[in-house]
Amino acid sequence: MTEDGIRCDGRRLDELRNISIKVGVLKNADGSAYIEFGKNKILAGVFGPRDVHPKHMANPDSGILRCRYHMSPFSVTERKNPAPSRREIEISKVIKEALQPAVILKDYPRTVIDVFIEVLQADGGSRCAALDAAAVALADAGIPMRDLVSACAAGKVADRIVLDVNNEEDQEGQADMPVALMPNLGKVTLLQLDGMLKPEEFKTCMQTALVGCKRVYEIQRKALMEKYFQNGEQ
Amino acid sequence: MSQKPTLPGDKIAIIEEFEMGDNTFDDGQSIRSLVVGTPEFDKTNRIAKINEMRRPAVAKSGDVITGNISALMNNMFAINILYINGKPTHSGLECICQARGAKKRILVRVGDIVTAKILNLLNGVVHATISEPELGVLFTQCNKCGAKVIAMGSNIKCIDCGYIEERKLSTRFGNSDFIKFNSN
Repeated sequence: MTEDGIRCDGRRLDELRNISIKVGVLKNADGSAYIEFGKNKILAGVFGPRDVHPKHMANPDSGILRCRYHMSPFSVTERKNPAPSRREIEISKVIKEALQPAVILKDYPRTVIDVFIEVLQADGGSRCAALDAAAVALADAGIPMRDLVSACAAGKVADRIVLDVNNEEDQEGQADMPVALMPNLGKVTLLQLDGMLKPEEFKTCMQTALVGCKRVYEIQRKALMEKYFQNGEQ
Repeated sequence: MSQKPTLPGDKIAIIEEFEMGDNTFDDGQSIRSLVVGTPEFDKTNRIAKINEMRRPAVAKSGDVITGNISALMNNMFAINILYINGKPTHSGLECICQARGAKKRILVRVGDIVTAKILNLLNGVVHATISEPELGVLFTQCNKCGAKVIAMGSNIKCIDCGYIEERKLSTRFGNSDFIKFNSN
């Protein structure tokens, strides 16, 4: 990072990578979205509400949400074993828990909503990008949600707080903090911190991440509006 | 009160103005949208609702479903839902029909294709009925030889072996368009 705050990929400290989202890209899924978050390329598909298998997982009082985050063997520089790794299992869990407060499941007892996330190309911050795509795919499937979920990471690199940490900054930096937010309700659904921050730095980092989430929300919103209302006009 | 297209979480009205209708929730201050759609305000009854752009393939109260009988019990039978209001669904969900007197009368058999109306969602189970004239069996086969059957009042008669059996037939029995649905 240069002294005037220009990062390794030419961004300023508070600048997001380029984000583009396409909605409804999979014919066979009930809802789907494709996101390009910098060099991350991620596909999310939603199926359901549908019958639960195995049956013993069914909840008679509400539906259940299942989430599978998977990295393709070709998503990283060296081939990744396609079997679910510890990291993928953890990210599946945190994405599910980040989406759950937004999704209304009680209207669909004994059913399941499956969210499949496939990382085609990874470049740091893939859990946030995956969460953004999954939230849009859920909305595309018509699943009732209290709010969209927008996620963005902030971190500490070279003793400075930066927005949207990329892969190099994640490897070399001092901290990485993914945050997910329900922007209209102002509720945080995911907060993780890898590294160490002083209390003041944590506050700044949190504020930076929340600003990032709100910017991501605008892009999610625009993508959904474009699909359903041709950018606001029905 | 906003007339703009809405996404989940968008504020459409405040709780002093309207009550919650379909696809909305209140956060204690505002009425917000749950789905992608367009708001509609009933100014007489003061109800705000959202007309959704896409609906999950789950049957709601009042929907007419078509499906096949997957299980037959003493006082009820289960229908595997294949079509909701004529639209195919792959959700694999089932609903149950209460069939009082099913021990004495054969209303349906496993494998029959029936049409039913959804009554409600009670205790996590979708309940349906076939008691209206246009509801009931749309297609069945002879229980003895598997050949085609024809309607004879409230019974069916096999055109091959002549076996007569009772069914709750729909008024659309024999001329239903569910085969057209299947071919789509």
